[in-house]
Amino acid sequence: MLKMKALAILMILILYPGPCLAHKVILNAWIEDGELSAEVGFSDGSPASGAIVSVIDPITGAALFSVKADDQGIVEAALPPEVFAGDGGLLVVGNAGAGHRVERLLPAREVGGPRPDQAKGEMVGASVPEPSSSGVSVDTSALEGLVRQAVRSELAPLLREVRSRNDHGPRMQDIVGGIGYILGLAGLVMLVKGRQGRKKQ
Amino acid sequence: MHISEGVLSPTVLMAGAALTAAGCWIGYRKLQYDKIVTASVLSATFFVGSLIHVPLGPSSVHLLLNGIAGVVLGWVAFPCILVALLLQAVLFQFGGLSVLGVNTVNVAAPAVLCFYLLRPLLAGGPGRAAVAGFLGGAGAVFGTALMTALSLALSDEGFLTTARLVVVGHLPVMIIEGVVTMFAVGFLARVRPELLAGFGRLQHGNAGGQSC
Repeated sequence: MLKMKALAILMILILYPGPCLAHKVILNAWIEDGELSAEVGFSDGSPASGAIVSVIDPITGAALFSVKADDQGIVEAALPPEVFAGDGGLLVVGNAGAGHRVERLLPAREVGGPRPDQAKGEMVGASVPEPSSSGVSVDTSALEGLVRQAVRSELAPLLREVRSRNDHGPRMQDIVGGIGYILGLAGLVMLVKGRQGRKKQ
Repeated sequence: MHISEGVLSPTVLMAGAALTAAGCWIGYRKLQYDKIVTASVLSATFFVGSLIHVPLGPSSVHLLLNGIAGVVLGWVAFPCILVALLLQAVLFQFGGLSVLGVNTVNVAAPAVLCFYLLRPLLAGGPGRAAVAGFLGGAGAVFGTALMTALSLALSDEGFLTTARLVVVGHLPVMIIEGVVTMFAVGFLARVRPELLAGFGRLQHGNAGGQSC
C-alpha cells in the first residue's frame, strides 16, 4: 500500500506538466525610429517588474543607455542619438535581479537610426508607394510617419506572438529524454565500477 | 536558483567550477556499485523537481529537492546534481553551461552539509529520521539561497539585499521541501532504513568508498 503511494507520488512528480518556469528570463526588444520597446518577463508568463534594461555596444561593451521597466516589465523609451553611433548593431540586456539576466543582439539592420533620421522601418514588408502629386500638396514625410506608426501598432501583438513562440517551456520529450540520459549514464557508471570491482577481486 | 549566464565574474565562475570538480570527484569515489540506481533515481527526481512550481504572488518558485538528495546520498549528491543541472541547462535553457560549476556547488554543498549535520538524527529511528528529513529539506534550500546570494555578492550585487530577496522568495519552498523530504525520509526509514543510516555508516567506515 505504502509502496503504491510512493509510486503514485513519483509518477505525479515525473508526469507533472510543468506549465511555467520561474527560472528562464525572456526578453523581447526592438528599436524603431530611435525608440526602444522591450518586454522582460519569466517564461511562466509573469512580468519581471522593475527589471533594468540596458543597451550595450556589442563591440566595445560600453553601456550606452539604461532604463527601468515598469510593473508590467515593459519599456518604452526614446534612445539618445549617440546610441546609434556604432554600426555593429546593439545588445539589449535585461536584468531581473537575483541572477536572472537575458540578452538579445539586434543586428544593425534592425536598429535603424536615431529619431530625426527617416530610416525606413524594416518591419514593413511592402514599401509605401509615393503618393502621386496631383496638385494636392501632401506632406509625404508626415504621411509616411503616420503609416509606419499605424503598421507598427498593428504588428506589435503579432511580433510579440512570434517571439514568444520561440520561448517555449520544456516539452515532454525534453523531460523524458533527460531522464533517459540519467539512466543511461547510471548504466555506464555501473559498467565502469563493476569492472573496477572485478579487477580488485 | 539557476543563475543565468553573464551575471557572475570570471573569478567566481572558476572558483565554482573548481569546487564542483572536487566535490564530484569525491562523490564519484564514494559511489558504491549497489547505490548507483538510487543515485540515478534521485538525480532524475532533482532534474524534474525544478518543473514543479509553487505559485507565489505574481511569480512562482520551483522546488529544488536537494535536501533529499543530500540526506540519502551525502557526497554522491555532487555528481548527481551536476548531471541534472547540465541536462537542465542543455534541454530547458535553465542557468547555463558557464555557470554550471557555481550552480552545482550552490545546490550540492548545502545538501552535503545537511547530510553530515543530520546523520546522528537519521540513524535514530523513523520518528527522528522524519524530523531530520524536515530539517534537511528546509535547510538545504536555505543554504542554497545563501550561497546564491553570496555568489552574486562576490560579483557585483549587494549581499544583504540579494540574500533577503532570495531567502524570502524561497521561504515557502523551504517549508514545502521540508514537508516533502520529511515524508520521503520517514517512509525510507520505515521501509528501507539501510538506505539512510546504513549508507552513512558505510561511507563513514571507508573513506575511499570502495566496497565493490
